[in-house]
Amino acid sequence: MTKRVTIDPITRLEGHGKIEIFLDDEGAVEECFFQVPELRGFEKFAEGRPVEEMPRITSRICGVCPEAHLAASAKAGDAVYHVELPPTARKLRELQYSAFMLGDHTTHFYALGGPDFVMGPDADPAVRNIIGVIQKVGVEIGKEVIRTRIECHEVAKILGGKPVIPVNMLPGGMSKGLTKKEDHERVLEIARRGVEFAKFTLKIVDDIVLANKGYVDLILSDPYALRCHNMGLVDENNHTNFYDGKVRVTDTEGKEIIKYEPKDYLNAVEEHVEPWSYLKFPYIKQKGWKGLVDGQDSGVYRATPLSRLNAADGMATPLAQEQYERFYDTLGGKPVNATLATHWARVVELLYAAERFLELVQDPDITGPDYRIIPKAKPTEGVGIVEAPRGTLTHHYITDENGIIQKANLIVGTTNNNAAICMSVKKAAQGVIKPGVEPTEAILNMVEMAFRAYDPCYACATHSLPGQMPLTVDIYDRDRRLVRSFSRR
Amino acid sequence: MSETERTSTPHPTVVIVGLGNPILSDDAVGILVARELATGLPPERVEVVESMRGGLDLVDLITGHESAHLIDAIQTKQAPPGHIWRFGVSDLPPALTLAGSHEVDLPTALRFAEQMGYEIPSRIVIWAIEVSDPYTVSEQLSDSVREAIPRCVERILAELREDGSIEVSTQFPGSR
Repeated sequence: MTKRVTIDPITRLEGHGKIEIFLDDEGAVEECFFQVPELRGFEKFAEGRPVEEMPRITSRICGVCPEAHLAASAKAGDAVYHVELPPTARKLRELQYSAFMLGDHTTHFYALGGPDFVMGPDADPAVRNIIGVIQKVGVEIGKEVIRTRIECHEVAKILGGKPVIPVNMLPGGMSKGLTKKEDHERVLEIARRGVEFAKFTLKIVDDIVLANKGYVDLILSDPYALRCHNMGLVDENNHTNFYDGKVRVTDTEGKEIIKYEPKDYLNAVEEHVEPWSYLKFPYIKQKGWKGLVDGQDSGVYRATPLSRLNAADGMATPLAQEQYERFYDTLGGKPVNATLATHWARVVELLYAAERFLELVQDPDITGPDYRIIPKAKPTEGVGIVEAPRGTLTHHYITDENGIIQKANLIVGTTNNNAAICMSVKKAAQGVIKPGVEPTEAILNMVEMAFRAYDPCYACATHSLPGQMPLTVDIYDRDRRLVRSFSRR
Repeated sequence: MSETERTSTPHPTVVIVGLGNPILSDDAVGILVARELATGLPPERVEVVESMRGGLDLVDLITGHESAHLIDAIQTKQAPPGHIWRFGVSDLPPALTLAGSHEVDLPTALRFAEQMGYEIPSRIVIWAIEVSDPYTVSEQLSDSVREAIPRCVERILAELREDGSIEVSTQFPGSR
């Protein structure tokens, strides 16, 4: 274990993400911290509001994954009012959610995570982006990327929400059904194309990433390995589900630690606070907080596409199941602890999202009239959990007898991964920054790749005009003097 | 006007996009300026939208227009809260166009749009209002940032009049 470095509060970040790397006398990485700003005051903002307003409000917390908050909040509202949704309502929600996951994972692969592999981690930053990717795979694919994103928004619009920020999920179901024939046909068309697009995307992974031994070696290399427990929602067959089911946590050897109903989340997860970070560190209660360490005895878990695959016994749709098996065959069996394999896992999930979307559109219940029931029971308390693209998302509300929020708690996707991200960034820094060698842009990009695999989203920081979360990398020597600072475009 | 719903006709010459988060304190400022502008601009000439997302979604909102005005919160810490910055795409402060989270940056999004053959506006102006707290969940803005709203509205109107986007005589109910 490395020596702990206490950072003066003055260096706590304000306004943007920061990686701080501390070097020892030889110039090797001694410590590394990753910090981000935290959303403040949500609980206070929620208190005193009617619980049925929460889906509309929480979907505005974040411009990146509004549907995840919408769905988790609506599910928590269902629980507060003790309502069991009719099949049509439940399936419509999952349909919309699957379309959202399809769009979100598409963006990540083509614009954010993919460029490091399609172009190469040390490619010129001018081409290591979506433009380089499209140059390589073709403008027609670029058009498909755009079309997929637009059509996934369109699904939400057809189902009665607004494009981009949907508001159509409510306690008890949906604000509108899929009862019109032309709407159903359009959604079916979008789903079919989604499956083809997802299959094509997996082919890109095959042709460009897996066919390159250098990339596979990089994915499996030690600087990017982290042995954590794995969290993910599963259905009754222990298959991955994004919208519903129980949360399953498996250990670093693949054995189940706990499987819990959303309402029992506080029995499974606790949060640790570190003085140098605004963001809390959730950990598995049964294991306890052992610090920022990985391994079987640690409490640190991940909630990512990779951990969802690790925590499940398989995928619920046929093509995704084939890819799931190939994933583990290629990478040496379950569980996979290679952080960079998260990108491939995300594309397997992309295919699952598309297939599930298509299955649900073709389900006879989907066009039914029972898309909402009006809650009548006395409201009390409820927890809603969904898998946000970047991790398990929990909403917990306690109300008075009029349904007015008395207390609210959220554990958002990225927060689950806080400890793992910090450790992954540090391990990558230690692996790629060598004593006596000036860290180049390419080397620092390889540190960032450890963080990018998690598709981290820090809500408020992501939608600002330049469009990316500002990130700086500061390197300090033994005497805490800032020796280099990178603020890259 | 409501979020991301277009207010008017198919292709007005100018689009104004208010960016930000309506429930994150000062971060709402871009959206509030856009809402104020929407009350008085001729919809056949100027389309006003609001959005919580930048990056590729922004491309969709501005494609097909001749010019675009983007309004957002910014934190440079090089000016007091409420200061109004005016940038072009090429002189966006580099400290804020960094590698990072879940979207591509604006210059990348625009290059991508060009690569796709989209008609992006020949003129893009960025109005960025220096803010003090964009991280607390609240619908309240700090005083200095709230006071910047009418000033920013006036500056955008002046520019629209000057470049002929709207008539000099356009009456604007939001003006004081």
